[in-house]
Amino acid sequence: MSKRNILLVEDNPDDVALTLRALKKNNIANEVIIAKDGVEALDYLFGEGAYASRDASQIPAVILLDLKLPKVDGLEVLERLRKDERTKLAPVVILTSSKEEQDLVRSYKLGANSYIRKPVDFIQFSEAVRQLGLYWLVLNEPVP
Amino acid sequence: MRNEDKTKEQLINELNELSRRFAQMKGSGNEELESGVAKGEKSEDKIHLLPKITLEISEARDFQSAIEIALKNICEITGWNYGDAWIRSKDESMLERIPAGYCSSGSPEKFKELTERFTFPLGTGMPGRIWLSKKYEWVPDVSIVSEIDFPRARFARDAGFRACLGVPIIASDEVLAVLVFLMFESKEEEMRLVDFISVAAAQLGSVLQRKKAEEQRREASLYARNLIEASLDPLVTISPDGKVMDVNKATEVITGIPRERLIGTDFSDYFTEPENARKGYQNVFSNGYVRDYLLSIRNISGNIIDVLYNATVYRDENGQIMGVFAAARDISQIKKAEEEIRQLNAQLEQRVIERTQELEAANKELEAFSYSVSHDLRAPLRSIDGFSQALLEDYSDTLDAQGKDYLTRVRSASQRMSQLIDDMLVLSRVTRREMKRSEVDLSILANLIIAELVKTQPQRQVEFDIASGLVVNGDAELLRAMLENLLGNAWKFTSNQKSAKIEFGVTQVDGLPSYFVRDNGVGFDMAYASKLFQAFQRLHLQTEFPGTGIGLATVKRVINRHGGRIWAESEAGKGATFYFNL
Repeated sequence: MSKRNILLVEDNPDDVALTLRALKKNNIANEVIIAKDGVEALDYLFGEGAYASRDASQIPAVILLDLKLPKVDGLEVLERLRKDERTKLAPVVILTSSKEEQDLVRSYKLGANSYIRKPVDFIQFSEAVRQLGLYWLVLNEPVP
Repeated sequence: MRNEDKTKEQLINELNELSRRFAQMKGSGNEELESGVAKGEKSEDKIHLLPKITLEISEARDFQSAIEIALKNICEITGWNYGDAWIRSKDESMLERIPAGYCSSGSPEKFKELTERFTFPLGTGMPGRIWLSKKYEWVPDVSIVSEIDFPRARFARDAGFRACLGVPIIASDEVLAVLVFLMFESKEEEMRLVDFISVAAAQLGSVLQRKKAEEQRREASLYARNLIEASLDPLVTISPDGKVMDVNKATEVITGIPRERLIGTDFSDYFTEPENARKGYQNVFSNGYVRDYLLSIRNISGNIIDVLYNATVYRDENGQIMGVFAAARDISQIKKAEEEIRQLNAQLEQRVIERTQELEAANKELEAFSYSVSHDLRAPLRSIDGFSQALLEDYSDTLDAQGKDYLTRVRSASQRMSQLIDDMLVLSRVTRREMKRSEVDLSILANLIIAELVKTQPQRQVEFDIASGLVVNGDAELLRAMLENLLGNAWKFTSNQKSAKIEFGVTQVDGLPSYFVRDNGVGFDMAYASKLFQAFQRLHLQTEFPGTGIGLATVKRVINRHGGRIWAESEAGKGATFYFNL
């Protein structure tokens, strides 16, 4: 059984590179799909636009979602995911710089499964990604 | 005028009655009178003159001229050459002569002049005696009486006067005046003459009393009138059919219409709402009064003046309602002031709304700013740190020790900047945060914070002395941020101390409970105390004690938001104490 994808929704290429590196460092070998903004993320998930040919029933193992995104922001992506039957139960981890309480509260209200603040210290970040991978990719039983 | 007519009519009746009685006296054979009359004095003519005299007196302008008329008539009719009159002085202590008097042609004015300033104490001299005795005195020849009995005797003798008659004018058993007559010839007491003069004096008395009462009434009325005119409030009397009957000066001023054009017109015509004005005075007629009845006068120039009316009915002697007496109070100034206050309040309100909106906008902007700071400033730092770490890990074999040291410095600088950003956000959040007051146990908070601190460096030996039960009213979140900083500082600045001690307690300063955090750490020089609570001000090197210089600025803001005060005492090397009250 091939490993399911990880969808990384992130507009900052540095953060993309660092996240990929952290995943690699922690031996997480799942394929990582990169969406650079909210629209791309939704297109991927619902098999629309550039991803029209994709089988939308294939839900990523985990969606790593930044909040501050061009076009459609992270919270709106989350809201749309939770409204759609197909993606209603997809594990979503908010991965953001924001430490603002309001973002945290809104994320959980909209149905985020986890909230991780990207630390400046890469070692801490790497540790967070490791734990994330451990939980969502290894321990968590995928939604049937 | 009707009253006066009545008086005159009564008077004439009385006088006619008097004449009739005199005629009777004569007819009944009063010898003395008859003989006197027979002596050619033409007393019948004189008696008939009595009503005429009395009438003349009653028509006199005032008390003084009435006496003057009486003196003149009596002298001319009965043959006295001189007559004067004495009344009580204002202070009632003595008798003084009234200026009016009578001198027949050829009689010496000098006597009048010389005795002008004479006064008689009650009981002294002829006028004084008569005042008390209420009886006439006849002196056949004043030139031979003593000056004790007749103080003016010498002057009278010099003037050539001989016979003298003094008669009281009595009304209601009260002496109103004493008349004194003198003539050049000496004369024995003559009953006929005394009778005539006494009757005339009695008549004069009642006339004078009436005159005097009239005068008093007039004075009282004038006094009342002056009061009415002096009032700054417009006063008006209104007849039962709503006509203006009387007004004062203030009414003329406020309406701009002279009184002769106001009197007789409809009261309600002078108001912006005549119907309301009519209702006002009708209320007075039915209820007896109105209080603070608001009306607006439209004056001759068309200006509108707001007034409050207070009015009552007034009645005649029999209690019959005569009309309404109404007093207005010009409240236009008060109204204007009220309007100004109202407008100012409205402006103020508007300004408050505007300011609040501005503040809200500024707050929103600030929030957006800090949101952006927390996201956008952090992202590049993450790259700097992350790729430095990547270099260190992935290229460790190609980097020499110095290269690795540089990268380590890059990493620690970026992490320090991250800490600065976080602290700044805390500071701004402390300012923005809405205060939620409740009872907060600072002692419990302090113990929780200390437990966290100890976890970070469990190997340290630190003695804690935390007073229990220090409960205050405040925002728990803000107070926690404050204590975290104060206790965190104490923890940090005692790190080089072998036996560190940190206290938290309360003491009284200027009668206020003042909480304190005390340590035995490095302390600071009091010369720099003023910089302590300013953001980004540090008194120690980063290498000695790490920090961003924002902690105490945050503490001060928390204290400020609680309306309290914070200050510190220290000596370099001897620890520091931070006091605060809320």
